[in-house]
Amino acid sequence: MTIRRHDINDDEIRIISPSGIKPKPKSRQRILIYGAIAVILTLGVIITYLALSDKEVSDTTLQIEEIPTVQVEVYREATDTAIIVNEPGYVSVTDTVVNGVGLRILTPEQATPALVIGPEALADTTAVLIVQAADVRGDNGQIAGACVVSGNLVSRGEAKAGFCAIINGEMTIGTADATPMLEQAIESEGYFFRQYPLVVGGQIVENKPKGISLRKALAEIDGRIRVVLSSERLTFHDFSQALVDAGVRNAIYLVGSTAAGTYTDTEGNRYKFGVNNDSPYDQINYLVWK
Amino acid sequence: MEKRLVFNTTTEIVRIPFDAVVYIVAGGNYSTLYTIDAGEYVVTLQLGHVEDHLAECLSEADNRFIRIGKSLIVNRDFIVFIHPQRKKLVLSDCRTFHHELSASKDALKALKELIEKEDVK
Repeated sequence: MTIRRHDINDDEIRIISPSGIKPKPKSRQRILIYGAIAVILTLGVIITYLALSDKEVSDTTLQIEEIPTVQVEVYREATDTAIIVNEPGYVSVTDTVVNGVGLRILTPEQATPALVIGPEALADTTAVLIVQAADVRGDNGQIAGACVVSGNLVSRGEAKAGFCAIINGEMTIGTADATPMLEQAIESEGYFFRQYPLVVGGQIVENKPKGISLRKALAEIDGRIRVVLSSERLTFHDFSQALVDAGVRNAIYLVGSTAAGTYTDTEGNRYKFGVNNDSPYDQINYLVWK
Repeated sequence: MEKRLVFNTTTEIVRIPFDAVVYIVAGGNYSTLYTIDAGEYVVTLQLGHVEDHLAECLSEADNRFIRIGKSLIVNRDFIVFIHPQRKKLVLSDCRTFHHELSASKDALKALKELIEKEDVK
């Protein structure tokens, strides 16, 4: 698809037509455009000259490019072996105190995440980690923000800028009003939901709710996605600060307060957290690692 | 065969005749198309991409679709009421459907002037 789109402000209109609207370049812009073309042409001539005059350099480059192919295959073999062994999953539990704030970090091992809708998900004893995911709106009982389950768009909207996408079993968290991961989640029969962003690139994101509560987050620490539970009631800001202090690069919120969940430790013991009150909402949803 | 606006993905295909599209609203990284039969179709494309796709499919003389601000594309054939001060735009065929939309005052003022000029022609 040819991209012909150009920016538009909320106070502007334009007629959509095949020829599009091309703003007339001003003289200064025209000079810049010609200058850029001249630079690109010059660089092209130089690169072509270097490529033709020094074939040995090209050959070396080609040899280097072949090496990663071999490495990828070795990696694949290792991955396949891990799948065949099929060891049971578990959760590594780390308790830490950061600047006086207690955090429990749950890291699922050898388990694949999915998003499941319905209160019955919490009773799944085969799951190694279950935690409530997207908020459910009190006014209509629907999931707040866009939500995809097994490739089906079950909810729309953009209430929160944070998102979690699970595509081919790989979980990604981030912050964006619009992300292609929603479409990828649909096309790959994956999962997607939105939540408040807490940390982006090691920086705190401020959120409107100012109350204090027990907090939960989906957080990226050392390149891995983990669930973090606060051991005390905190504001969003203080929780985000504690996450940053604990080395979190990116994090989005998960339903906090008394929202229930479970995890299974390395010994196979199953623990519950939160309060499992019967939810009045059919759309209550959980991240479930199996 | 009448020309249609087609959105094709691996999981679904949406095919709507151009003259059946009433308006299209942005919703982040998807857009919702509303049709004359009260149909509502969600496509996982940002409104800018929908606009590009429309522009590619339309014939040169076809200028019925108008982008209004960041989040709206309307079919001018169904514009029946514009009130910039009230930020109100009504799309209807005066028979079966009636949609009240909102847009910025300046955008609706520009839209009103455009429609006025073209009606004079």
